[in-house]
Amino acid sequence: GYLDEQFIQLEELQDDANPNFVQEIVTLFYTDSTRLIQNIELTLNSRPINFSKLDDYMHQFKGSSSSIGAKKVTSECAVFRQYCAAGNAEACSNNMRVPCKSDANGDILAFTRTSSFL
Amino acid sequence: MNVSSVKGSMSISSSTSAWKAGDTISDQFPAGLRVLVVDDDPTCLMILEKMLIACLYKVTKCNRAETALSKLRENKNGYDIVLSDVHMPDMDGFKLLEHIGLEMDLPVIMMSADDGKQVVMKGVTHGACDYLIKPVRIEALKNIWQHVVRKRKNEWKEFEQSGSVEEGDRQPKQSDDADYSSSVNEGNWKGSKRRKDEEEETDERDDTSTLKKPRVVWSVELHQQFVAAVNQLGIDKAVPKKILELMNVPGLTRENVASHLQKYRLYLRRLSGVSQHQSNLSTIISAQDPTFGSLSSLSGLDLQTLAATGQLPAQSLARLQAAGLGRASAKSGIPITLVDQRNIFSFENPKLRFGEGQQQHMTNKQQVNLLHGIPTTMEPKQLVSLRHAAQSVGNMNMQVPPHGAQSSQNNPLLMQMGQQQQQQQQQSRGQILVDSTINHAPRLSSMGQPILSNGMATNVSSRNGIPENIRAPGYSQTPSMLNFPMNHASELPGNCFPLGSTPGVSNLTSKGDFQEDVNSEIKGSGGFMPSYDVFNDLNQHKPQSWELQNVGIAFDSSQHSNSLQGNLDLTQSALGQQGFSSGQMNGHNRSAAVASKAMFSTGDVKELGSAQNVNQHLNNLLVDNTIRVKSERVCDTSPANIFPDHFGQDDLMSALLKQQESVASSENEFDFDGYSMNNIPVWKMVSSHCEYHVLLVFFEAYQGQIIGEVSKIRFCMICKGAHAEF
Repeated sequence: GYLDEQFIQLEELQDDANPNFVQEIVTLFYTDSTRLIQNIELTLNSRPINFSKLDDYMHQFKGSSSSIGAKKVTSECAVFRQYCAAGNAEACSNNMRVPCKSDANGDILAFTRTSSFL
Repeated sequence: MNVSSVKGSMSISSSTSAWKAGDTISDQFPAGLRVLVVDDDPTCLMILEKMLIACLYKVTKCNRAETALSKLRENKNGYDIVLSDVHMPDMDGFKLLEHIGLEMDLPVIMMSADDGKQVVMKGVTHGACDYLIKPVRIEALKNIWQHVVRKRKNEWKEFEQSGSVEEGDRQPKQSDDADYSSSVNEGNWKGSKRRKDEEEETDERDDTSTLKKPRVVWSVELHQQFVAAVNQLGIDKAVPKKILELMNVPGLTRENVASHLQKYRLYLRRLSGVSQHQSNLSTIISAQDPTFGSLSSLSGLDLQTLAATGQLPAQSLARLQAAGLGRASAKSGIPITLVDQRNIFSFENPKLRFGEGQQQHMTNKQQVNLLHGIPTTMEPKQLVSLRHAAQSVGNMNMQVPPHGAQSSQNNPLLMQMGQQQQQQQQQSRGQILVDSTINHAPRLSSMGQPILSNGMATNVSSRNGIPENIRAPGYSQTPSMLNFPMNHASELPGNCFPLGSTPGVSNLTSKGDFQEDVNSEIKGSGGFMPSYDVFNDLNQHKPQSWELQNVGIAFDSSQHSNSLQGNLDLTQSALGQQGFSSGQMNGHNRSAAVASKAMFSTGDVKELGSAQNVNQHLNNLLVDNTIRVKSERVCDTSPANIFPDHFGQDDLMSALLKQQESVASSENEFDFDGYSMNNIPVWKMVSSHCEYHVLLVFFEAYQGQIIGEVSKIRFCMICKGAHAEF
């Protein structure tokens, strides 16, 4: 339940010409999101917290994750953004753990490994 | 129009707009569409690229807006459409949008994970052709070519109108003023519209193919010159010729100026008060170019938005309303409509108001009918409502489903219901019964309890539902009522109601605790509810759960159906047919339900609702096979008729019978164990072809006791036979 139909679409995009498309995408996502997450952490740890920036990052993250179909991450981001909007620093800090270390990522990773065999 | 076909337009536009260096338009349009995609997110970018390639487009990707702009400028005609993200680090997507619109007048599609209304609106006002929400699906990308065509179409028109001179690649100044965009869009929109209409301005273009004049691109610079000239001349005196002279721009035709002036004027009028220069400039510029584009995109977006927001809510609203109405109507009297949810609601409302008018329900013949209508869907909800309602049984009747409100009818209704719609109805009926029971509760109170206990108790075991019913009626007043359910054991499938002398009682007893509950129920609600349930059960068998539930609900609401619950259980089981599991009733108003059920099933219906009703029902019921509250113990066989599926009926019946025995059955006497009701008719066993009739019998009996004699059976709601006349 971590990936939605968007991911299916990605899978469909993969073909003989691009056998590793999905894998590429996911890898890319991971790389990108890692960077993004680092930024987010940084922002979170700074004082005072720059919520608008945080929101921006979250928006990006949300966009990325939704593009690859990681819906859980996407929804977590949405929630996170609400906290940002409310200026709820604590909630942000607490919830940051969620998207970053969510199983979604792990799940995707696993999936990638599988698809690499395709 | 020049564009006779897509291809045609393509070629023309490409030549006219001078976008394409070569005129080699792909014949497989939209394949080969040259797309420039800009997004800072590499993941998205890659995915988009892949998708676009899959659409057979030619893709160029950039991850920075500046890169994109420079690419565009290098090769003005190198792209057909631009896809841009909204949130980008180096430049805002909307800004990029403006630039592109001003300089190259390409269709631009915005993308974002953000689907907020403001953002989308911003895209619209800035002239975006479309706005896609991430994640972008490939299907959405397959359609983007439409924007290209549309734009070219519009441009072509504009071009025609504006004249032949191609201002082409004037170095457009970056309009870093965001203000431009909005006004630009507006202006464009207006302008282009105007342009289209201005045929007189255009040079005659007889042959589209020969039109190779590039459009005049009113750059910021140009426009400023224009505006300066206009101001110099005075807006009133500004005539194209003079403006042209003042501007002294080579290559600019009078026609160009004229059309531009027109747009400008329009824009001024529209923005009276707004700074002219800026707005005009942008307006003009945009007017020429993206006007149409904005227009289309605007409408498109608007429509989408509206559709999304407006329609959906409307639809849902409608649905809700319908649903709500449905319910309401159900109440009022949806004839024979299933006691569906709606009914439940309506049902609920009237809810059994115990004490309200036991009579109420009883009296309604209609209700009886209603019962029929009442879909067996007297779902648990209904039951619940019933319970809560604790309203007079009468109410219940009315409420009870479909029939809507014939409070008094409850009983009969219930009865009917049961019969008619077998399972569903039963449920509803149960409710009705419950209601009526409840309503009657007051009445029953006096009698119910004792009676119920008698018959119910025993019966309960077997019948689940029935016993309970009996109770209810028993205590409140309709011992007979109660008995009915029980008594109707014969009727009731499997309900071994002690239809005999003390139908109610016996029933109650069988139900066991039912009686007690019944009393309580009756007090509160009128206790009849249960009878209904029972009744229903009897009739329907099917709505087992329903019935029970109904009963339960009824009872509960009305009373506290402790005992009732037990009864209900019985009823339920008895009713079993419907699948009532004693468990079901147990929970809730089982007792009530049972009571009601019992009551109903055995013809408590009558009691519940109004004596009349019940009588009717009972009559009907009884009509069939000598439905009569007699000391017939029809525990086993008869019920079969009624409740084909009653599982417990037999047991109940037997229980009831026992009860009856003990109770001292006498015709039309509700003898509940330990319950001595003065005016409670004794429930007797009756045999009937159906539960309904059995109930009717009881009802009748009860009626006789309570409200009068039942003259005769005139029409059986459920069996569509004769029912009692009061």
